[in-house]
Amino acid sequence: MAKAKETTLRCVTTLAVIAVVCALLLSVLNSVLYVSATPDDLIGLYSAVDGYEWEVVDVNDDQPYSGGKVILVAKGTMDGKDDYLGLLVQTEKNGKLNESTYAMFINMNTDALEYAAFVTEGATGGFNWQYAKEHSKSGDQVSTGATALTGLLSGDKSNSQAAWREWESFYGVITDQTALDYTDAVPAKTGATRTVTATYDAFNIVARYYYDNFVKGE
Amino acid sequence: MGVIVSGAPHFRRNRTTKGIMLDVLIALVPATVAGFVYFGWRAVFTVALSLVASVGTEVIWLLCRKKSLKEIVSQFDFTSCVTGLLLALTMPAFEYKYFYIPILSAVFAVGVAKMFFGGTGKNIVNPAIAGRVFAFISFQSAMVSGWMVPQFASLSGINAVSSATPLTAMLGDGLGAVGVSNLDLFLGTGVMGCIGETCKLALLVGFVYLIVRKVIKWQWPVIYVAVTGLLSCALGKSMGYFLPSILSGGLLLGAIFMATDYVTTPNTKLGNLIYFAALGVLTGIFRAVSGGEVVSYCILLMNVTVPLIDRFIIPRPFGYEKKEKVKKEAR
Amino acid sequence: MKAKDIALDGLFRQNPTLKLVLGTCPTLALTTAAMNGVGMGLAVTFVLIFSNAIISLLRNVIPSKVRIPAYILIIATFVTITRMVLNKFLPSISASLGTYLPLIVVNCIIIGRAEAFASKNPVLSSALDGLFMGLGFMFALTLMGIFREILGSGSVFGVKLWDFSIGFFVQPAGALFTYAIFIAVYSLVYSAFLRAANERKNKDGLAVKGARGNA
Repeated sequence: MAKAKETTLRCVTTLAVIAVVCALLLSVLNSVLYVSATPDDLIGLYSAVDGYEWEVVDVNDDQPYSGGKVILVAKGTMDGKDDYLGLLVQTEKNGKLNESTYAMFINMNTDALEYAAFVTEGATGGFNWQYAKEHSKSGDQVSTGATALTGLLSGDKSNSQAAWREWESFYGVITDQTALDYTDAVPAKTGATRTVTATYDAFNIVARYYYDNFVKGE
Repeated sequence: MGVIVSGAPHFRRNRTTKGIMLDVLIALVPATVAGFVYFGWRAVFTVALSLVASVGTEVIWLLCRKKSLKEIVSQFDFTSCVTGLLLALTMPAFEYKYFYIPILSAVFAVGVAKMFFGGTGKNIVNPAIAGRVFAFISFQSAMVSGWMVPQFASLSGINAVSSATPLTAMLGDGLGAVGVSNLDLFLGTGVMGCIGETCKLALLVGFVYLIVRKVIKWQWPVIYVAVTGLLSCALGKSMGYFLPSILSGGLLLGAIFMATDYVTTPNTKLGNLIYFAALGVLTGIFRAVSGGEVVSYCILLMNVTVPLIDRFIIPRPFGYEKKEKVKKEAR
Repeated sequence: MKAKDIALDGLFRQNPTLKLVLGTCPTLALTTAAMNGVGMGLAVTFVLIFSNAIISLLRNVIPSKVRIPAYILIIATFVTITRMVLNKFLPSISASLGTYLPLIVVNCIIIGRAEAFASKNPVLSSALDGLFMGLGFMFALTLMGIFREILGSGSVFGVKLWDFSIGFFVQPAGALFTYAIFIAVYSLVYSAFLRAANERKNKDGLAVKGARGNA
């Protein structure tokens, strides 16, 4: 009996030691091998900025945002064309939804948010953003954010700036519930609802970031 | 010579594999001629290439196995001719630039599906079917869009369906989209399709010849075709589907000449009943689900199940009497 | 165990893909292109070398009752490291291997070598065994990849050769067909070698029983 206990103890200890050593090794290597975002990640996503030169701007992380963080800000320039700001936003892991990365492109001359795209999707099922847009309950955009988005997408500087300001005050208004309404017509897919939430988080973060760093001071 | 395995009792007849294969070849003549007439030189071209490649593959394989040419000639049993001809009949009349498709498919059919498994009588699946499926998954664009409109116009005066075969049109858009009358489907006038499957009349002539020569039993193809037709009616909720569904596509060709291949059918009557009925069910369902022609895939799939059927349905030995059930007396 | 024997076993006599028929899932699924074979082969080689070495090092420490969980822990660690390294330095290969990369954890070659070799042999031999088994796997996969890519896509290592292609060979049916052909050719070559070796030894009055060990 004592012998058996001893063996069990030895088995458990060995496994535990191996597991701890492996975990330590991996966490050290994880920080060494961490792949940080580069402006290369912005290339090939939006056709209007093909051939742009991207220059990294330091991320201003004075203010924490809920739901995720800006991981890359880059300014894109090209002779004779409008300047663009490219941002990568990584949203937090949310239950079964893994971290998602979004790229957003803002035309700095008109202040319009022109394009947003997935870089990595956290949902396993693959989320059809276009489908969600076409089948959402309240037409093209969820109602709460509609005014703001119309302004943002208008391409007119004063409209856009007004929209950014308004969006700033909207912050927190677009909640999980509105996201849920939005996905009502979307076929069930793993993580679809959370993808929508994450997407709104990403928009909110970009709006707040852009407002804080580029609009507010003007 | 190939060995035909069947349930007891075993009768001896003066029939050889060679004789049976010659009968099958003769039965295929009407369909082949109809194909030549409808599709012209391109059909002749496809058939010739497939035949030459099939026989060539067998001869080369046997030469590699160190058989003398004399042996090969004396033992030649025409099975590779049947394979080559059937294979060509299940293909569209190819443009000349696609010369490699019938050649490669025939090499695959005879070389891989037959010779790799031990030659005549030992193949698990019908070689011609294997060749067709190979061609279908390998050269999809040529096999699907290579259809040629026959040289004879439709009798009912409707223009031939130009984009899809009548079968795919029917499966996709319902009965109204067939575009040709049942008589057209039967004669193959104005209907696009494979070389051998277009003229159903010619296939039926071959069918009658095979029955008269007692090469195949008439019941089996009839069961297959009838089950498919009835299932199509049931799924389409209209009896109007019966004739178009059995007269279009490769169903008759497959049912008469390919599903009935001795080597790849079960040995017992009950086994055959299950085999052909299952073929009909699979064809009906898969046609409805996939919206395309599936006869070759169904036959391939059922070919593989034949050993299983034979394992579970054991023939009753000749002269065996069923034991009467004796009731257990209560103690 | 001589290094030469270990090398010959891994590359030829006990080739994991063609002789032991281990790790067939990535073999069938990934050989649609030659480059996949190289990538997968290198990843497996890397994992094998280190898992074999570590397991051999701990072979007297790990109680035999829990050896499989212990092996899995060690293998999983190195697979995760491989993923991180590939993600960082070769993202394109990492993307094309997709889900098969993390699945190396359950690859039979690795656990098989841990059980059959590393748990009984010293560290250096085990690491060498890992290296050559991995290379044998890589060569087999790359050759199959070249064969299937040329026939199925008309290109080799991504370089277009011609427009002609036979779709069969990049499909699953073609994978099984190619695998069968490769095993058949391998067996032919292998038995020819064995016969030649036997004849040579017979002259010296000695008979060879064949290759060491068994699958």
